[in-house]
Amino acid sequence: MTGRVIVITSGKGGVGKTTTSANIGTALGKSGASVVLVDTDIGLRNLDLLLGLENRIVYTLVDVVEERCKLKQALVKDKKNPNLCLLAAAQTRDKSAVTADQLKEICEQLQEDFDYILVDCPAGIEDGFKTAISGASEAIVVTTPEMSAVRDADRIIGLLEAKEEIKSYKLLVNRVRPNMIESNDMMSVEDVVDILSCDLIGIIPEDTGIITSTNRGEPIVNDENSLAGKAYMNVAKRIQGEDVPFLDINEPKGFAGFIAKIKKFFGAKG
Amino acid sequence: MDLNKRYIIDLSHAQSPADIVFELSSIIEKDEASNKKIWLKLGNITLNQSQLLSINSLINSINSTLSLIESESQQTELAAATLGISTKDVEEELQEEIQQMESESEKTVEDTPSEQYIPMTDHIDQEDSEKEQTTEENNVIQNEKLELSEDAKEEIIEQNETSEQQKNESTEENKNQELENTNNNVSTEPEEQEGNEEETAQNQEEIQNSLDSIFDSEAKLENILNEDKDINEMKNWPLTKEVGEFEIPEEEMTDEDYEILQMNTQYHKQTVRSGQVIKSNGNVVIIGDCHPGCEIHAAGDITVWGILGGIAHAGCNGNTKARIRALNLNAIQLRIADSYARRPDHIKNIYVEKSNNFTPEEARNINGSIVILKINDK
Repeated sequence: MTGRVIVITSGKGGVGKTTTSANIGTALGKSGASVVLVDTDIGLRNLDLLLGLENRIVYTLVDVVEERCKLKQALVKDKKNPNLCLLAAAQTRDKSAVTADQLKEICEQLQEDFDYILVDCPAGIEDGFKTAISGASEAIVVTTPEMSAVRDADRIIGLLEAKEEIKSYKLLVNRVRPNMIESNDMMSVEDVVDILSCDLIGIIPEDTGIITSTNRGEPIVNDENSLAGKAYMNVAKRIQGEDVPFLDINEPKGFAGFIAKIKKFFGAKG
Repeated sequence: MDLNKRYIIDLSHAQSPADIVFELSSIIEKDEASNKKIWLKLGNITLNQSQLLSINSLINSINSTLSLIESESQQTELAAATLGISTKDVEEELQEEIQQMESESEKTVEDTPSEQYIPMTDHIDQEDSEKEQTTEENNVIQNEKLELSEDAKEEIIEQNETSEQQKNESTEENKNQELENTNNNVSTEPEEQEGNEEETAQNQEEIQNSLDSIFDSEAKLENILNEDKDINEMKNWPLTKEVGEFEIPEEEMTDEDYEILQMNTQYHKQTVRSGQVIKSNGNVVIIGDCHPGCEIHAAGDITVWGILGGIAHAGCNGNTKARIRALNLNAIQLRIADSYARRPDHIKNIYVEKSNNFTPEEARNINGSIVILKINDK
């Protein structure tokens, strides 16, 4: 078995790389594929927190690299889904603890046992980024419809194109607010795709549920009612080769709108 | 009456009409609720006719019909009656039907396997007559059980208070049990007990094997625990009993204890933040808080005059008599020599609220398991 190594990167910080990694990983795991999430944000790890696994980490990526433990010992199984594993980053070290070659070797080892290896990349374009993309053959570039994030994404795509090993890269537009686009206060998804001239793999609407899910340590794809969760599910399906139409993130119409109206009638929130 | 087509939604805990609609709209999005006769169980909430009509049309939209409403509020029942919806008691109605069912098919009821589990949700979906029998018992005794379980919970708490260890984390299982005890106020579901105890016993053995296997067996244990046990049954689990029976052995001073006393001691007067590591070949005393994400490794004791939130490893050279003390033990992981304990998953707050009311706590390694003791009356 040779798994696919996908790096999730963005250049700019705070656009949702870690959230995306956690959710796509969980979604892929739910569909039955075996998935390992590799956190390469050494020193500023957060992926364990999003998955609610921070109390189970004994060995980290750095311990594997420095041969204090075997690779399998360092893999933390998810609470709910046995298909999903986490290889956590060390909190007490910095990016220089792991080199590009070392991570590449780890990714090659993981490829034998897992269908998908998702590498959560740190922000920036320095050594941390170069290390993270070293083992990958595919990339997902996360951006938000803001000028600064789009510009950084453009820089990242340039760097990814320069790297031969990366065969394909896809764009994921995060934190989209349909009503702001409607009033011309935000760039539309089409604008972002036009500027970056890059294939789209997903549109994730802004969702307050993300904050609660992060605090609770439970990825939002586990919440079936969340729009962002559904959008992440669709991204996972597209990664697996399914042709899924993009989610309509505009004001709910039809049956959903009917429910929304009734909710309004009773004064329910959300 | 076609039993397959009945779908009971229990919304008696709902506080406001908005809650009801919110719950309903999430339930009816599931396929299993469509094409069913829906029985609604409401609490003490007053709904007027137009609100009931809206609920009705909501249910009609998935090809189901609202056929029965049970409510504590007379106004709601009146409104339902004028709309032609039956307002009988769900449990009584159920029993009547079950009696009919039993008289029709007594043989199938006798064949009911003893290990029939029913997933606990707010609504009980009866799909076949075999499940029917167990559900009958459930419905009849559910209210009693609820009261009982609350009593049982108090008992356990009392036991904890009278015994020396209020916060027993002696083994991985115990922690899981605790976790489950606290989870039990969310929902209770009576079940058959025989099968479970066997499984628990198996799990118990597995967990004690090694650190690696901890994760595997825990996953299994959690799978079992996730099926929401009745608290009365929880009391019968071997390890919950131990909460009362667990005795801390009278400890004599050993060579290892003297070794710790003779070690050098490092003092740190600082807040230890995320990513910082303190390592020592002797004892460590920290005057200040240790935030989540920090690590403290010491060959001897670790004493924190503040909140301990990170990872603490006492006796890291193998001294099992080393101890970890803190004004508030909220550590992500505690390690003493070769033993390891992690914070229960149900504790979500990473940062402890700072106040002046602390009960100092001490973690010890007793026969390979880590036990946390409150140091108030010793």
